[in-house]
Amino acid sequence: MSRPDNPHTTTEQLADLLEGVLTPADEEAAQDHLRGCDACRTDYDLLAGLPALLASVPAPELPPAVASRLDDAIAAEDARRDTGPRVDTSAAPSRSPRREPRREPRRSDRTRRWLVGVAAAAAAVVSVGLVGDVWLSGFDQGGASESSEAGGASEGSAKAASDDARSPRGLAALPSVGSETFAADVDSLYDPARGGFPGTSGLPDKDKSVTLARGPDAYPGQVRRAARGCTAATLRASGVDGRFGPLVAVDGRLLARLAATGPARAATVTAYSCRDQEPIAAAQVGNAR
Amino acid sequence: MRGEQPDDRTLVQRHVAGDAEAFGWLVARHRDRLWAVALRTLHDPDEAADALQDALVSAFRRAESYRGDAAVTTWLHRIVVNACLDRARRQSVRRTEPLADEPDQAHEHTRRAQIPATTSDAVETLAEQSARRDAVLAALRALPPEQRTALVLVDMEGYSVQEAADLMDCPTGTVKSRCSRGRANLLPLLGAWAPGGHRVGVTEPLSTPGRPTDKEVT
Repeated sequence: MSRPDNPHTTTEQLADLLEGVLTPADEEAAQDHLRGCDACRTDYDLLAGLPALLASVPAPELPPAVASRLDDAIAAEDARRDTGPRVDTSAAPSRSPRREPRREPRRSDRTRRWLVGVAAAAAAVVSVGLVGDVWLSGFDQGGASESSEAGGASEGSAKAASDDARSPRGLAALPSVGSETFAADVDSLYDPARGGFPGTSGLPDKDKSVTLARGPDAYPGQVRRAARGCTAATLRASGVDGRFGPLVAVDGRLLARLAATGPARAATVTAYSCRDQEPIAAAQVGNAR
Repeated sequence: MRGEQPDDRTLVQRHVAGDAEAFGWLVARHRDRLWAVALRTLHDPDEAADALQDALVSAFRRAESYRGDAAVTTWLHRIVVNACLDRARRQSVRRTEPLADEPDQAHEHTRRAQIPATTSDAVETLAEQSARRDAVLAALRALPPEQRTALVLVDMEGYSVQEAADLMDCPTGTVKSRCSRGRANLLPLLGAWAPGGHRVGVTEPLSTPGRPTDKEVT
């Protein structure tokens, strides 16, 4: 136990003694030494006090920012699960869609959008399916509180919706592209400062009412809470084979994930009111250039 | 009146069956404690939040593989602890100053001998509590990740050695050994703060490795 050049026990031996992991022989030797050595006895007592010292540190509280971040991440996972029972997929034959490459949002919102957008673009190169998130602005949630900004978007959307109703073909024709091209092009156009894809703003009168976004970063905070209030719409897609994920509403906008199978084609997604089956908003998915 | 809340296992089953709310309930129930483990293991709030999020997302996706042989809370903690350990190991590779895993130096009769005694231990001020907390956290930072995690679980969070072994996926003997080594490494750093130790005033707690301004975020 003791060593010629140092008659004392080592701190490690004392700690092992305390933890009860010494062999019986070593334990006896250490106890013997402790009986005659005040210095080691003192250290032993201090070691014995460490667990209480550590336990005395109050538990940290979960910061609200982290709590909501976790909520968001789980909401994004929920939305990612392809279970959209209220979504009409008649125009989009249901096949097993590829799941989007998984990335979690983190860092500040601004940074996060940009980083994830880039990550999604990179990952999409190896993905066969087209996965796009479609924002349909200004959808009436029936009593959900909306910011004044969302209210403004509502008006634009109403106009766009009536335009769509009259002239669903009025949207700019989009070229068909392969899924890989599609994903890369869209993401390279993504403008985090504007929260959308500049390539879509060239559509006449649509930039206020329709925003395309993609990737997990397209789920801002509050999805989980807002999603409970809104399910009253039917989505149909034309020009693409695939199906929609669950429909969620955020700040007066609807968000649904469109997962396409096979070669991706530019698509038009239209939301119809569940009350009267009138089209209420539309968005285009595809390369708008 | 609210109905009785479903238990953890029921929530996992509902989640696997497609219930969009179930996992959120589960997380809400356990996240405070999971956060404490993550933050104390990693110290950096951003890293801890990243680790916790990664772990929870992983649990969300892996829920089908939960076999029910351990408590749900153990299962969740295990995923979080492993995510934190992975990150902590990378942290300690980036830094290079943590204490040796197997220190074999004979102990000096600690630093407390060089430190003048305070006038009284009877009353601990708020500032002193805060200084003590900072000293503990900074000292933990200096430990190798495995020792730190073991002490966080056993000494700070109050898990039994058996529970900690389950969470860290290692034998109980390994947990004991890590706790023992960890405490031995902490003694020179924290001995003066332990009951019976002597310390200087709060304006100058023990010098500790790592960044002294780092604090647990509350």
